[in-house]
Amino acid sequence: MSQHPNQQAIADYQSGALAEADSLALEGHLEECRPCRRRLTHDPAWVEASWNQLRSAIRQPRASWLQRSLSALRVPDATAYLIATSPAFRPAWILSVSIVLVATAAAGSVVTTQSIGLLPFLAVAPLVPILGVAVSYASRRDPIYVITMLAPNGGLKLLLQRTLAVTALSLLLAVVPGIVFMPADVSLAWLLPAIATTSCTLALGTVLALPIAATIVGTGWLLLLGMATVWATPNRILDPIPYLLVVVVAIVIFTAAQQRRTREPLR
Amino acid sequence: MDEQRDIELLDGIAARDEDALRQLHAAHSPWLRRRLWRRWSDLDVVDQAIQDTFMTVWRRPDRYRGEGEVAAWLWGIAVRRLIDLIRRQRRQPALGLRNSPSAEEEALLDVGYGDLAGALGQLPPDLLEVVRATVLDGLTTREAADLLGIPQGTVKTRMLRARVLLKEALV
Amino acid sequence: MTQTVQIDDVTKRYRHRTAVDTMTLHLDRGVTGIVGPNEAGKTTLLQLVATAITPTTGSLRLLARNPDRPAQLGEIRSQLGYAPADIEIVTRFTVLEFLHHIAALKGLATGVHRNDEIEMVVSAMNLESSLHRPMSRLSPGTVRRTLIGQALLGKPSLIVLDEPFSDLDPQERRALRSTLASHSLWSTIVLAAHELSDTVAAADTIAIMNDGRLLFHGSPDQLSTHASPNIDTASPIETAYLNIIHGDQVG
Repeated sequence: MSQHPNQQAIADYQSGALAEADSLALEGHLEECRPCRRRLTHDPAWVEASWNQLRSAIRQPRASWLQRSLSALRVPDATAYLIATSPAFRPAWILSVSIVLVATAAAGSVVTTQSIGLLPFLAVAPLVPILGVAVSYASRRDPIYVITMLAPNGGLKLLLQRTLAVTALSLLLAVVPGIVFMPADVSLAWLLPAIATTSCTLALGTVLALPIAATIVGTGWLLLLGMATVWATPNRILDPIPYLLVVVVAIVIFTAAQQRRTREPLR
Repeated sequence: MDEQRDIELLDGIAARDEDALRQLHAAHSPWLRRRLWRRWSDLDVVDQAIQDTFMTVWRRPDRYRGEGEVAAWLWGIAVRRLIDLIRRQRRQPALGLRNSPSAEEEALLDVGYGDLAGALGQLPPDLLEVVRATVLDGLTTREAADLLGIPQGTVKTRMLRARVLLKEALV
Repeated sequence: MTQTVQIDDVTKRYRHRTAVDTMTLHLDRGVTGIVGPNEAGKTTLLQLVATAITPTTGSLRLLARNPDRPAQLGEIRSQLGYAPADIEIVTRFTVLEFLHHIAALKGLATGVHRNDEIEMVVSAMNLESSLHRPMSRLSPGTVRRTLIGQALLGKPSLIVLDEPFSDLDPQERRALRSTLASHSLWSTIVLAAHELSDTVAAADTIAIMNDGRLLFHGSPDQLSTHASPNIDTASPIETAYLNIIHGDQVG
């Protein structure tokens, strides 16, 4: 482009006085020529106002689909956000958990001896919620832990909301493969053990760091299954009464400890 | 004031630097606003199109592939955001794929500023606005139809007539 | 008049050491700087004021409320901002997401109010250029400024900052002092530092701690009267501080 519009042309273009054909030619030229673009005058007040609006827009946090779903279910904004942003709701986590659950459940449907086939899924399903809970909470040594525990919307309230959400999610992720692949009478057999392991982790988490508590409970569960298999009493594993007792005791311990934890998050 | 080249600003935007976006916005929003306003007289819609344009740039700076000027790329985004807003006002259906420019249209774009002005000056207004939309603004037939508020068939016939006249004028 | 922070005969004992030893300290609006050697008990004192731990003995009253009562504890915490000394955060958040997260935790309603608060903190702590970057990729100084910023969200009446000047360059420190000065108009700010000069420049009153005990509480001017003519006068404040600590260690 060797020819540039003269000052009069630019002024006329801006005021609207320039003929259409000349205006079009000028516009085509402006696309290619930075010095001429700079010759256009502009309203600094408008540019600033436009920028302020743009800046506010780029600083808006974008709600994930999960958060929007929770809001649609009338969950308060701040709560929906805090649940949706908890680490256990990340797509990668949900995907890997689902794969593992489907794989172990499918393995169960393939193997013909009922109790052996049940084992992989029965081992894994109760571990999922405790892993979710452990992943959801910052280590006590993380500065964010203290800030979270001290905040009005944090602390016990947040702990319970997140735990509930993670447990519900984990149970949901296990329900479908269980029903689809496992024999009907045992497809929900893992449910009570899963609730038991989760409540044990929470109870133990009142004295130990949650990841450690999760590890202990998870290992304990696998040992229990292993022992039951070795001693050839696998079906005793499905007896609900012991689990119910464990759940009740765990909840009592957990509740009793909350008072102290709320008062002294760093103890 | 040290103004960075547009490409450097896009790199800054990719690195999540707000100030790079601010500078790009300051450098381009005035001429974009003027050019959009000459296509659509509702200034509120135009200003919203500008907002949407730079929001798109912030979210996807990588969409600029290094072909042609950044200014041209910005115009492409801006005019399409404008058409989206117009469609929403008119509740038009969504649009199909962009046709690639014909050889004649490409040739027109290569013509010098002075020659182009001369040739365009010979066109009647209805043909001129179609040429503006399809050749200069880079819209598809459908997009041009939406912007101008005329049927697609009319866009095509006017374009044909304009081509004939422009060829005569530029030869 | 009830003061914002009333620490009366407070002791905090752990299994092998006494971190805070029968401390009595009353603080009002303005900036109070706690200084002392490492292991003096500064962090523990701040944790007590931030209600993160409870005293072993003694009484604590914050914002005219009793933190042992759950309802009053909630009220204190809703007016509290706390920035711990440790900046080793594990998070996937960007600075902006982090601030929004803390704002949500603090119950700041979404919308204009929350955006304005974040805006205020971002400009006070100069976080504009790091806003959209992940916190895990930021320099320690930027993380520090972000943590201080989150403590300021919502304009709390009681702000507790542990080692706020660490990792900051001289310009950032000056900017922080100015931010603290303006916030101290409506808040009580308690900060702890091992660096004397920053604290003296920032604070209206100084408290010197050693081995869990309070050795001095007063204005920087009052502190400088403790300077002995014998020791080198690099700065009267520093001399006075060293005198006090030395005297405590020997006596």
